[in-house]
Formats: sequence, C-alpha cells, structure tokens
Amino acid sequence: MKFVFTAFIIFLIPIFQYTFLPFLSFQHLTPDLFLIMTIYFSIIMRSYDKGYLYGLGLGLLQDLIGGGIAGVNTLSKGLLSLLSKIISSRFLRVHSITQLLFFLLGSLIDSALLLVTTSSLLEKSLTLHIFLSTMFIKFALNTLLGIPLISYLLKLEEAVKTRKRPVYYVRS
Amino acid sequence: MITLNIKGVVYPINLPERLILYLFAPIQAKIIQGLKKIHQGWGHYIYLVDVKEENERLKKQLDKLLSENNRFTEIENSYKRLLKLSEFKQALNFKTIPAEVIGRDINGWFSTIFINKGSQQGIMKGMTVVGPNGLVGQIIVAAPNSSKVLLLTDSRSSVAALIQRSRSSGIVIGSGTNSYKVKYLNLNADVKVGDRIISSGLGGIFPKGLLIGWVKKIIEKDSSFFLDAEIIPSVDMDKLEEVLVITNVISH
Repeated sequence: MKFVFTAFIIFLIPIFQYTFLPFLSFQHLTPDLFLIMTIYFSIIMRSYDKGYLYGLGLGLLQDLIGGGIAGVNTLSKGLLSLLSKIISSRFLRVHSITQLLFFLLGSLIDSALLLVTTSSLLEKSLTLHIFLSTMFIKFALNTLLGIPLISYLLKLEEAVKTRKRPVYYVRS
Repeated sequence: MITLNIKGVVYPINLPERLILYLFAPIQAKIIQGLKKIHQGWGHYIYLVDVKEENERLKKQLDKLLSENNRFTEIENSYKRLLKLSEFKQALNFKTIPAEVIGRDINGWFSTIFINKGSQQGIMKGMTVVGPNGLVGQIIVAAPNSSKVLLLTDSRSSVAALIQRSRSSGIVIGSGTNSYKVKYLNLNADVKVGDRIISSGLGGIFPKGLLIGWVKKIIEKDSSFFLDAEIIPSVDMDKLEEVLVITNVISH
C-alpha cells in the first residue's frame, strides 16, 4: 500500500512540475517540486540508502523528462538527499526551521551545479550576482511551496499510520 | 346595562369601560405590537426564504453565465490564435504539423516545452518549430505521441541569422531568460536599432527567412573583434500555446 502511495506521488511530480508550476514562475524560475519531494523522502525514509536512492531517482527522472543538462539534477538531488538525511538524523529534529535549512541547501547545491555546468560546458560568463539572485529566488519559491506541502504530506502519513484498524469479533 | 346603553346613558358604563381600557390597553397594545412583530417577522422570514432561494438561483445563474462567458472568451482567443497561426502557415512555404503546448520546463538558463505531437504524427528530432510570430526552436526529443522542443531562449540554442535590411550575418544565442543576443556581427556591420533579424538558413537546421526578432540595443566592446546586439524576441515564449512543426526541412 505504501509502495503504491509512493509510486502515485512520484507519478504526479512531473505532471505538476511541467503543467501547473510554470504558472508560478518568477524571473524565469519555477518552484522545483523534485527538490521538495527529495527533501520529503529523505525525511520520511529511515535508512540513508533509501533516502539517497529516492533523491537519485527523482533527479534522474527530472533529467530525463526536463530539458536541462543531463546529470545535473541527478547529482544535485542525490547530494541533497544524503546531506539532509545526515543533518536530520544526527544534528537536528525535523520541523519548519530544519526544512528551511534543507531548502536553502537544496537551492544552493542546485544553483552551484547549474553555475558550474553552464559556465564550464556552455562557456557562459555568469556573475556572482546572477548566481546569488538565482539561488535566493529558487530558495524563496521552493520554501513557499515546499513547507506547506511537506507539512501536509507528513500529517497525511501520520494520519495513515495512526488510523484505527477495525476490530473483528469472533463468535465462540 | 343593555337598556342604559340603548337609551344613550353613556356615563355609568363609560367609567368601568374606560378603566378597563386604561388597564388593558397598554397590555393589549404590547400584545398587538408583539403579534405584529411576529407577523412581520414571519412575513419577512417567508419573504427572505423566497429572496434567499431567488438569490441562490440568481447566483447559480450568474456562475453559469460567467463560466459560459469565460468559455466563449477562451474559444474566441483560441480562434484568434489559430487564425493567426493559420495565416502564418499559409505564408510559409513548408509542410507543417500543428501542435499544442502541453508542458514547460523553465529553470533558469534552460527552457524547453513539450508538445502533443510525436514520431507517430511524423515529427522527428531536429525539425524546426515556429509560432505565429516567428521562430520558436527545434525538436530535441521525439517520443511516439509527444516531443520536447528546445526553445531559442535556452542557453544551448544558437541560430545562424541575418540582419534583414543590410544582410549582415551573425549568430543568435539564447540567454536563458526570455531574450536573445545576436553575436559575431562584423565590427563594420550596418546594424540599427529596430532592424529585423531573420534566420539565414546556414547550418541546415533552421529554414531561411524566419523572423527571430528586432534589434533592441547594439553592444560595442573595445576589446572585441565583433559587435553584439540585444534582441527583442518576436515570440513570447512564456505565452506560447500552439506551434507549427516544419516537417520538410530535416537536418539529421
């Protein structure tokens, strides 16, 4: 059941990312649902491997469907899932402020990798100003969408976990 | 009392009558007022129930009319866009396939769109995509029923271009945002603000003569051997809803 639920969520991510979210774009940047869900999966998965695999998988899916440079998202989402898992399990408990940190980290990794790849592979001269503005816009967009969404999904999962199971009486 | 009353002797019965009236009139008045209020309240309630029902009915009707109005406006807009696209299609000397934009990936320096036609409809990698106002991009992935289009605004896009008036050639390169730059124009090239920029056909990817945009600003650098120019795109990529895929100019 949990697998079906997870598969359904993963199926919905690209649909929302490429159809609805472009309407929320600001300065030619859209909220990154793949990044938000990477953070979500790294929070809910108990082991490092699973969280990391989900991050890698989501990044790969984004690379395959989207039109950016292949591999950038796989790397950034993989790194993000690993780092957020380490932070959440060793140093901090998961709440809204931790999530803010994850979004900042995710936006930083994404923007840094984009900067490195575009400036090296595409030979574009990108300034620190462009890098910082991209990072902060991404951070703001992801946070605005991500924190309510992750809170809702966590509550939903908690509700599913604590749902009362029906009691069956057996006649003797 | 009856006799006295008939005989017109009013006073003896007038006094108790007045007394009773004096005593009961205020109570009566209060009761009547209360009853009136109840009556009015009931009347208002009944009236309000009717008004509420009518209000709800009118609201539903208004919602329906607004929805219909919205639908008709959408149909009208769609008709206008398709008419423009159809006129553009007739002006083009190429065989084209119309397609609808079904998704976008806008992420900083990379801009791609997804269209609802693919290899089963005859679309192949490398085909040129145009909009009602000019060049849009090229197909980079053709799936059976959908395709991915690399927009001209993407940092990886480049098109061989001409200044239409002076025939000076350069290369149009996407900047990631909703704009382009024309690069590698000769230092002595005849370029003016407002000049139309069209595809030159060199390289064999994009057909010749498709509008790319207009010169917005000429950039002259001291250290460079070339002139650059900023371009106002002819197509607003963010508002693109329908496109044409040119099928008989295939590069690969």
